[in-house]
Amino acid sequence: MKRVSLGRLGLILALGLLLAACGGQPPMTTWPGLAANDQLAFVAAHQQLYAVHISGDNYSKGAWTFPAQPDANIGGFAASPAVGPNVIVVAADGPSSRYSGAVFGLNPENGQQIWCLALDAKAAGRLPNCPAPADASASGPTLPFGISLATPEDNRVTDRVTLAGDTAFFGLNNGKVYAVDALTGKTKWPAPFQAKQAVWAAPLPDPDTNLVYVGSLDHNLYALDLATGALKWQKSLGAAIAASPVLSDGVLYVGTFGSQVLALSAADGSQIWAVPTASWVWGTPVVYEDGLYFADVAGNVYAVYASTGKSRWSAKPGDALRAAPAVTAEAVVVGDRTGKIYGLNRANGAGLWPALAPLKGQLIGSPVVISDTILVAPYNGDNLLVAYSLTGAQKWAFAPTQGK
Amino acid sequence: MDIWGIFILQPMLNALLFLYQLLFHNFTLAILVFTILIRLITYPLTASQQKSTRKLTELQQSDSWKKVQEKYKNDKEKLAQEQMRVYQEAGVSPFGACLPTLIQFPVLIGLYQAIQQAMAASPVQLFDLSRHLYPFLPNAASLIPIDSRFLWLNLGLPDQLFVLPILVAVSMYVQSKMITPPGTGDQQAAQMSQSMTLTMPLMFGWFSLSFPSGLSIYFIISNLIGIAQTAITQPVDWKNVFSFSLGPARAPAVPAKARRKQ
Repeated sequence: MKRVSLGRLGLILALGLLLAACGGQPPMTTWPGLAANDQLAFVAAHQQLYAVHISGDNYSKGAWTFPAQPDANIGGFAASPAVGPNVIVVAADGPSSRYSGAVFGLNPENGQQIWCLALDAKAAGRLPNCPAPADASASGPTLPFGISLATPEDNRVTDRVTLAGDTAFFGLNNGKVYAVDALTGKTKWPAPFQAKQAVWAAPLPDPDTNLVYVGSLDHNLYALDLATGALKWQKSLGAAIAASPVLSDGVLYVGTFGSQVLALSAADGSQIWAVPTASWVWGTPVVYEDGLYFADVAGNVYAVYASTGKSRWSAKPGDALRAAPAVTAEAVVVGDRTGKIYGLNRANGAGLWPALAPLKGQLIGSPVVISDTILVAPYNGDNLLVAYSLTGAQKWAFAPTQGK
Repeated sequence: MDIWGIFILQPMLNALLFLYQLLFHNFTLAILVFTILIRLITYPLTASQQKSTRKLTELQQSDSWKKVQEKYKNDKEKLAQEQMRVYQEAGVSPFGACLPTLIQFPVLIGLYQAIQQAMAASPVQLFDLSRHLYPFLPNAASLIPIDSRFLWLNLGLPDQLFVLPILVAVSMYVQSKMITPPGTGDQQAAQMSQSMTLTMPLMFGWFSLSFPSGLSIYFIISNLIGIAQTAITQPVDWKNVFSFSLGPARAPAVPAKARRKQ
């Protein structure tokens, strides 16, 4: 009888582990990030950041990608970049299943790397010119075959990076919040702020009050000192906060998984009003003139008076809505889980556009309005970027192979 | 929502979250209790499957079966007819073990999906979860996100120390070896069966390298319960279980009680 020795079985297991370490394409675990300036749209998806012309003769054509070719050490891109006049700050996940994370400062003209900041001490060695801050998570001692003796921290940025002047802010899945110099990548706070759970929401900096507002999945809204990251106040909202609040006239408006939107004093977090919704509110509410517009994951869109929370109208145009609406003078634009985009009359919530054919994929990320164009980046679709007119007519689409 | 979501995934997911709430917000404990409950509910099916497998194995080791095999070894059609006759005479259905397995399959897939969705390790998974929660689940909003820390593990990420993938492979191997019928004389079939006994655990161990740790924990618990169930309900040749063989397995030692009957 043919028998397999323990040694041979061990060899098979070791071979399996070794092959698994080679890894493959990281799965897309979140929707593409989208941001834009007047000339270019930036889509963070799969393993690259795509810059796409949205104006001029080259509209709908790719301008550049970062990195030029997918790089397993950099990993996937999903969080929306922060777009400044001289720099784009974008976060990458790091190698698949390790999520060591890194943040890059790029030249908006050509996508060339200006600086890099590794968020895990071990990842710093794998990326050229990419130091880690002194407080970066350490993966612990490493055994042969790359076996680490410590649980890696999840250093991914989920939502987006935000900019205020020359400072970029971002929160991580491990609950850390960083402030870095957007032009050099040097950390600005003595130590990152640490929330109890993941920080998916982008930090909201307010130079007027010198505070940064951070929502966390740990149910708390934190106000941090803009210069040092020190905690100024915190307020428990009883449910996870997955998107940043919006600030207007000293009032913070924030949605929670507790199925409500709250208005809080930006000075101390005290509650001004709260309105219930049918389900979780995941996207950032939008303030436009005296109105506040938001959507819930059950598919409802709400318009309320920002000062009182009193309802103006609500509508249910289609399927589940994850993202914040885009609001123009005429319309409230939302994209749903089934790939359909809707324009609602801002005054009364009535449908403005004829029924549009759904895009392939899901519209889970927020639409972005630039000038007379509405941009959406479908998740798991044929196209990375689709442009609509303000009347709902599709103008053009961009697929990854174009312009490469 | 589709039929699968309404009747399988959604009830399991909400039950799992309810257990998480009851069990001190410890998700590993919730997986443990939930897996035990599901195994208890599906026990009649498991027992029926094991009984059918045992009867089939006993029949295939009988003299009448061996005689038929020998007599018609060169006439496949006649052999098939004779085999069916022997099955009928013995009152054994060759598919008796399949039906209970088929019924259990959706339950196991639903359980797997419920655990994966409850952990909601990524934003897309959490978005899916939001659509499957019952509105009457008490304090559902306060449960999210699930606390994913357990020992050295982040339950939403693979185990970097490879402890869980190894435990998945080993526990699955032991369970497979316990339920694999011994050789019936057909060398090729027996070798294939033995090869599967080794390949499947290695494959699941391999998958576990990239699965979230929470799922690996579910596989290990499920395998251990399977091992315990089998050990309690049927005689086990432990020596055979822990021998690493690619060849046909030995026939199990006949229990004393059975020997007396002979």
